[in-house]
Amino acid sequence: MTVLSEPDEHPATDAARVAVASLVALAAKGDRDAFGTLYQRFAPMVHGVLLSHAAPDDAADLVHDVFLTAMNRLDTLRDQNAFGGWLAAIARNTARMEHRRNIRLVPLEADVAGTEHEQTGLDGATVLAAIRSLPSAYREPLMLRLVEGLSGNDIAGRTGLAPGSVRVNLHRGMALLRKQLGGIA
Amino acid sequence: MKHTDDYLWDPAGTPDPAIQSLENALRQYRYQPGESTPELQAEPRRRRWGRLVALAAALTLAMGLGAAWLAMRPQPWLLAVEGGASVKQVGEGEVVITEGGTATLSVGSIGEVVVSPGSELAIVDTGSTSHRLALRRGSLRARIWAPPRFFIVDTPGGSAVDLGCIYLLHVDDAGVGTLEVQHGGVELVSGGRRITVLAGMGATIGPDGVGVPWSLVSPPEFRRAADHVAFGQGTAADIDMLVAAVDSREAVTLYHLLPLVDDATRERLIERTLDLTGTAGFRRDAVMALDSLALANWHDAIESKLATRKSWWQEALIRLNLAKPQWAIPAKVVRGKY
Repeated sequence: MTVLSEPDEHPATDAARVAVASLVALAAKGDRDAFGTLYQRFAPMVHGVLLSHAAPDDAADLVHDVFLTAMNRLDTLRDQNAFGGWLAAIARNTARMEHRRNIRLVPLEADVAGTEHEQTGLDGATVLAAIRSLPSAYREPLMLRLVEGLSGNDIAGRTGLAPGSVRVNLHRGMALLRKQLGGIA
Repeated sequence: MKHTDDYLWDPAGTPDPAIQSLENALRQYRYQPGESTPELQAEPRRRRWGRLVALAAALTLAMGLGAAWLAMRPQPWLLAVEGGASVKQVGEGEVVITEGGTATLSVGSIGEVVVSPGSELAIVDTGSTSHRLALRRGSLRARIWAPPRFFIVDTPGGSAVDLGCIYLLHVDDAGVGTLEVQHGGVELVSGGRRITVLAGMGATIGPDGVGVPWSLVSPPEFRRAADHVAFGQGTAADIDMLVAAVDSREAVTLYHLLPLVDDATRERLIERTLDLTGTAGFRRDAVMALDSLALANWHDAIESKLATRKSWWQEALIRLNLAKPQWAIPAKVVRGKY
């Protein structure tokens, strides 16, 4: 792969964080376009976090709720650089509140109509359930990487986690997931 | 430590078949963005206390609308012209033609436009959802404190959409417009193309559309070269001029030209942009292929590299300049015909 310049451990994250902080500042002043841009960039992350805690149909619906909550509370965010982590926390809380309200947070095996992958025989619902059975520290990074297709750097940048932590959790989580799936993957 | 070949870390690395099989099985659950702007269509799902939430939302909306109405309530558009003794009220469909003097137009309650001598400015829309002018020739300086996208000035080649700013706009006798943004940002729109021009930058609005942003500190020959390339009239000499850019702010121009040039030229522009900004960690192949996400990420990095932090007094001056004036329009100018 060709890169524009020497890659480092934290490529782009500092620059991207500054850009996000600028967007958050604009959005906090009522700039709907800035908030729309934040929505587009962070929606996959929010969806991945929700998917770690809620059924797929609920996760899709809850994305809007998370952003509505964020929009209404944006003025309470003290550190604009922490937007990603703050948004991820809102997503987790939203999923937990849904759980308390008992709205369709049912076991995935019963809730998900999985599609078996033709070549590998892997069933999506089975893999999803296996990821959700992992400790929470591994669940979200794996969901963001394998479902949403985010890179490790993107996960770190969007959730506010340290790249090193994301790396460790991805690899440990993947090792556990392989065990869970009994060597299918 | 490099990780470019670690597929679990970077999906752009060498594929790992086992992980790919997991991705394929899980692809059906991936987030699917809506077709329209999600933020605008966002609506909370109805809960068991949906009525209560709806009532609270209605009250909030009513209060918000009330506050907005107080701030944005219709006010007459007033024109004061140099040398005159009075202020005239103007409205939709009227055209302000300044001959020898300057005119100052208060745009309802949202801003002020100073029209230079020798200009022709039509008042197109004074409605509650947008305020719109059309500059047919001449120059104006707009100072707007409305919400973004509320105030628009049309020119023969495209429209300048206010994003909260102070800017200069000029249209020459051939209908070619020039924008210079002093504070905030302006979006230029023409046909299917739109660019955002931020403070310290300008752009040309040609008869057939908008060009690319260039720095106000760039020499005229650099701006001309950028315009030639943007409007499909670029020569090898123009490209040489562009890649000889020496100011980091000119990287913004080079970046905006990437989709408008051939592959070989794009390579050169990318190289020069990198030299000027020192941005790192972005995939060259994706930028070369004009991948929208890669371009957006690189654009953010470029902008953040170029961003300069203003001192508190600079910010205060800008805010003072942008603040809605509390004094009446000076009544010493009035000359013009409608």
